[in-house]
Amino acid sequence: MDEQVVFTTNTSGTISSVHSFEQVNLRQCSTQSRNSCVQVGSKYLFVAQAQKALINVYNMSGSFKRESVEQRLPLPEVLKCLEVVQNTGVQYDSIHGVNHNLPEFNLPYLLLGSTESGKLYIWELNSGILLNVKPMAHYQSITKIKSILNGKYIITSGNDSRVIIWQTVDLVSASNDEPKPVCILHDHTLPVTDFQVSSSQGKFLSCAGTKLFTVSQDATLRCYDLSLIGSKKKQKKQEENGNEVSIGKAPRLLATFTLPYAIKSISLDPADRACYIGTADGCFALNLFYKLKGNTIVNLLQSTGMNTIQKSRVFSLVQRSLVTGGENQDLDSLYSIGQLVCDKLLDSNVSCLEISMDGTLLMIGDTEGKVSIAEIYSKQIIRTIQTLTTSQASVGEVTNILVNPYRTESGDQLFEGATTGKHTSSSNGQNSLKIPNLQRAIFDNENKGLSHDIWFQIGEPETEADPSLALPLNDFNGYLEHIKSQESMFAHIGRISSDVKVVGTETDAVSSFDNQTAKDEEITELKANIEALTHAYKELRGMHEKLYEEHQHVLDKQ
Amino acid sequence: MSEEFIAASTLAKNLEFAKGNEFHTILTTLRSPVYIDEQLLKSELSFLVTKILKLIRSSNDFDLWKGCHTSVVVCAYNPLILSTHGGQLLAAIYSRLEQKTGFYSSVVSSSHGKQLFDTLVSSMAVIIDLVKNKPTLSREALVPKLKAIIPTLITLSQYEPELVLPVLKKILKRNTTTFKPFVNKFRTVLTSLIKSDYASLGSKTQILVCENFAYLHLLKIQASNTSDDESQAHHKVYPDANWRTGLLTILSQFKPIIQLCEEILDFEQDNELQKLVKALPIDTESNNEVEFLPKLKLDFNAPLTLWEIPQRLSLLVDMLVAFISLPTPFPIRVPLGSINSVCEVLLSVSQKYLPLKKELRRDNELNGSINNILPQIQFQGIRLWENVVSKYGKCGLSFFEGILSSIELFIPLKKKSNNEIDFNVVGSLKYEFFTVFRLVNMIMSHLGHQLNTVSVVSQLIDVALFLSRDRTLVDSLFKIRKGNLKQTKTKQSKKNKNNEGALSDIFTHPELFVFKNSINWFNEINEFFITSLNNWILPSTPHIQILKYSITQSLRLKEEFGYIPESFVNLLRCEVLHPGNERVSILPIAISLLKNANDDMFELLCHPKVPVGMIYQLHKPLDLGEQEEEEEEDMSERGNSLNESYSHAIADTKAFKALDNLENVVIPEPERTVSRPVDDAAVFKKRSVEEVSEGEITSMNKKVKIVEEVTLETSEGTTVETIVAQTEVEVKSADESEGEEDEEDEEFEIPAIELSGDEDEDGDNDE
Repeated sequence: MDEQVVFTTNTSGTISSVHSFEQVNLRQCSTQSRNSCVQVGSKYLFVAQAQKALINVYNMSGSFKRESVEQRLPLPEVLKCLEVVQNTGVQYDSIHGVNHNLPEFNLPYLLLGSTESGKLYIWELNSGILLNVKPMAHYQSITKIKSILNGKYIITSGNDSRVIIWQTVDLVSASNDEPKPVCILHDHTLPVTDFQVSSSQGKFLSCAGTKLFTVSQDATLRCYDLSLIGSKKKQKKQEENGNEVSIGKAPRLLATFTLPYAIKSISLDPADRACYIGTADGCFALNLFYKLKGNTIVNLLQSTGMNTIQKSRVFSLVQRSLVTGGENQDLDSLYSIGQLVCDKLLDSNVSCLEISMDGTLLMIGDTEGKVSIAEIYSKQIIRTIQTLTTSQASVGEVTNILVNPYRTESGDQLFEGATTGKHTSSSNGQNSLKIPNLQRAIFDNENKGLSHDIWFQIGEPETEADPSLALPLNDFNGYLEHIKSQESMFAHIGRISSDVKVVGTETDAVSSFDNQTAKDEEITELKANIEALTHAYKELRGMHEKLYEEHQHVLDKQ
Repeated sequence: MSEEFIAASTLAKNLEFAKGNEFHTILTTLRSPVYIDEQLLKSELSFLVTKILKLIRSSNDFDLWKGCHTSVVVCAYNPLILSTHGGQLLAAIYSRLEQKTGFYSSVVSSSHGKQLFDTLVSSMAVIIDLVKNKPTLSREALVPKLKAIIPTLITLSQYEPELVLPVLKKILKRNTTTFKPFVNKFRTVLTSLIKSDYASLGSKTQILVCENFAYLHLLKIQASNTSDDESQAHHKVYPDANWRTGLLTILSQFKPIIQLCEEILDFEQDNELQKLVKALPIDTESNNEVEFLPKLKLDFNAPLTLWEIPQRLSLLVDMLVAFISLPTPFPIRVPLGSINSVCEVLLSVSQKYLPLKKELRRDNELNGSINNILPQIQFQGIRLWENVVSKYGKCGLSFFEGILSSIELFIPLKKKSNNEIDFNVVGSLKYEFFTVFRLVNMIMSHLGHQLNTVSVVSQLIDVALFLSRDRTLVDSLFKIRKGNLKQTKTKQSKKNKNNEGALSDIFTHPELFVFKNSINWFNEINEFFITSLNNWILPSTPHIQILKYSITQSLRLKEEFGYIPESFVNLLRCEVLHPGNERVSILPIAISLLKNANDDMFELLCHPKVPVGMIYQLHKPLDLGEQEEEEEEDMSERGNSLNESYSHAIADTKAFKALDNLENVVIPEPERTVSRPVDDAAVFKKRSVEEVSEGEITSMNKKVKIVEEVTLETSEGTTVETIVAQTEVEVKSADESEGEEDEEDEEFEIPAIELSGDEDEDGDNDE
């Protein structure tokens, strides 16, 4: 197992890995804005190109990793941010309880892209159909798009200092041409540069303790509780409107953290234990379970009960080394005046942050185009990855970092040196289809006559063997049971069982005697049969001859 | 090599006479890896195989049966035998199968004949399965033989579809090209099955027939006649061209059937529907393939013939589902939009908004069968949707809201009433509603909480609650009886006399005529309730009804089975977490129901796990927004007084309370700080300094207490160093237990819980 690091800078794209030194340079890759790169399934990487209305598709899966562009998807406009809504939770045969393997042609449901002007494009990837375009989704350029809760909702943030939560179905629904957002957060005063949502999300927005962290150039980090059912105010309003069933609408602001610097990016511990804040003056770590003197620990994001109208708390963050006086004595008093001490992990002009799977390593992309892998606990840089280009100066800033774990195949394989046999042939085969081209005209959902074709492939069922066939390899006992039940059928039949006993004549006298009598009976029966048949035959023969003669007569007469 | 195993040759010798236990032992022994040895191959194993072959070729059916099973076990567990003799064994089994198929009727007339076919076919299938992905083996042993095997199987499939079709399906999918010469023959067999015997096949076999029919379209068309899609014309021929024609022909069959419904219902009342029907896909190229379905014979004078409509639709849905849900070696194009509109039209075929044709209104018998078939027609649409949603997941997201509003059409309403659900009809459509709930659950898992069509949800809740009651068959009888009581007594006694013997059970033991709901039904319903409770705050009545349902049913199931099924536990959890508008939590009820069930979740709810020394933020009921504007002195004084009033509270709370208050004082209004960042920085510092000093002066006692508190804790909890590791749990527990804590806090601050509600309203007024 290893973790793959994909990062792009203004003029390059690189696939590398955290623990090994393999590195691949993506050709013809240039990005302009952050979050312009998205991983599609485990196979593809989509990169929205700078100053070109084009998405480059790279193949990055396992042994088919290629440097060259696999496919180019032309776009109606230059896109800034990309995001996909996965089609997970496809309950294959949930009725029959059969698991299906993922098919080879497996695309997410939606591709979302935003433009400089804050326009939001929504394509269906399986067909390339442009489902909707939301002009002025934000008043200025969108900085990040993210789908949450299994793709039920989509969050966008923009330079217009707003964060908007959309419901995915509203954006694609046939009946809804002017999608309205679920809610708009406008607490920030300057462009929202980045946001993160807890990695663990509940099944519903209502019961999840899911948190949303937004950072902005106004030097604040705000944390919201996304569980919507809690806020009663809006619900009451709805009741007044006469709605039968209702829900609260706005997420609650839990806490605000202020920094002396404009914040450029944020990364969240996978278990929400800490967050890492990237600024032009370095990268800071903030423990969300903040340790005071002694054994006291504060949950900074503690939300109060559902029934209170709570004014969120405001903290200001102070860098640890700058705190005067002793280390720990001051923590309490600083806390009491709303100041939190946080560590500076790295002193560089951070543009992008991403955390590793286990939450111990932080990938820090800076404006010079290199990614430093830093261990959070020791604040040491373990490794620096740089683009494999000759002119380092012109690389530009890091725009995207994607980290995802993958299996290193050689380690897990039974026979070394063997390739992944079946998989190779199938995914390299001519059957693999290109991603459908993205259309430029909005699909007319209202027109019911359209067939709305999508490309789709259903995966193979997990076990091909029919349970009734009970392949002996899988379940020998079941197979044996099957044999037994069948054998009993044979045993019940006199003739067959007697035949079986015939072979045992040497050993079993009684059975042989039985056999003998049975045989005698049979022989007499057969003899009678033959007699009857010969008789019948003779009769027939006679009739035939008679008829033949008649026939001859008739012929002769003619 | 050790000699401590039975030689294969010994086993082989015994095999000849073995039966019963001995045979099973031989099979079990043959699985042993010791026989996978190249040295044994020449002598022992080939002897074994010769014996097996002898058995297979024997004229004795029992020997043949033994031979088949032995060869299957040997091939499965011994790769050596599989690769050297697999082909031989396969050929032997096949030749016996061919022979037996030749005398099908005579073989089947003996009672074990079916078993024999079963054995022959399944062992052949297993060996084919084993051979399939091995390149040399399948090239040399399998493919040449398939040419002979396939026609035999096709012949057999006429008589034993259930047995043979799964094997043919696999072969058809894997060795499409080899199958090619036999496609037409197979198609004839399948069409005759579909045409004549379809209704008499089991539902599994029906599906198999349809799937095989669909797989016939895996063959690629050579000639390029795909000009239907101009924009993608440069793609020469799609691999799915043939598949798509098949799919579209089936899809186009729906329109004529639906147009038949126009003879029953007055479609002209609904322009939208007419447009929709007009837009349904039709078969543009007259394809011979379609013609295999016989025409329907409907007669209004014989109302039962109308049932052919839903039957035909069901067949079409089966076939369409096969086309869209089978795994294919290449991606296929699925006209989701057309399928969706077919479903939509099917669901619109209801009397809810469309009147019957005028000329049909008088005939009672006819109207009766129309009333019966209309929901069945709608149900076919629901079935199709269910399959589409389960396979394609989010891809249909843009239709989901439409589906929900169409489902509303399926809920029967009382005639001439104002949106009252006709529960009598609902009761007779239980299975159909089961599918509806499954569909709704699948859809809801992709939707968010904001819906345009929430009215369906509340109607469905009513339906679910109604159908979840145990239903008694004699209910209507009793109703009639009550009615009769009012009438003359003589009439009633007459009735009783006539049927006395037959009816006594009904009146004495009515409980024996009760239908109970299956656990599957409850699982589906509970899932639906969980989704609704999570997504919406329901009005009081349905909410309480759901509560009542879950509690009574849980109790009943607990009494019956001794435990509460998982879906009910989940529902109870959800009810505890989402009390809705109710003031009273059912937590105690849920816990007493689950008393000894060791439920982690409820354990956490009752004993919130928090780290030692955690600072809680308590909400202050009196600390409202407006007061924050007040003078600092007031604030700190109030803080003090508050603290004093809590003097009986546990030390923890007090200390943290104090800290909290201080902090609140320091930063009075977060919104404002944000809006004027520059100003604020200055104000902020100044104030904070003042604050701290003042705070220290005014709340001396408090400070002292804090110190004490902290020291106490340090002495108690020494393991807090590991707190970060614990936090995962803590986050959860803290969140989940919020309500709990709050309640507790409120209890010793202000006992009445209603107060919190009042605060709320206050807050609202403020806003």
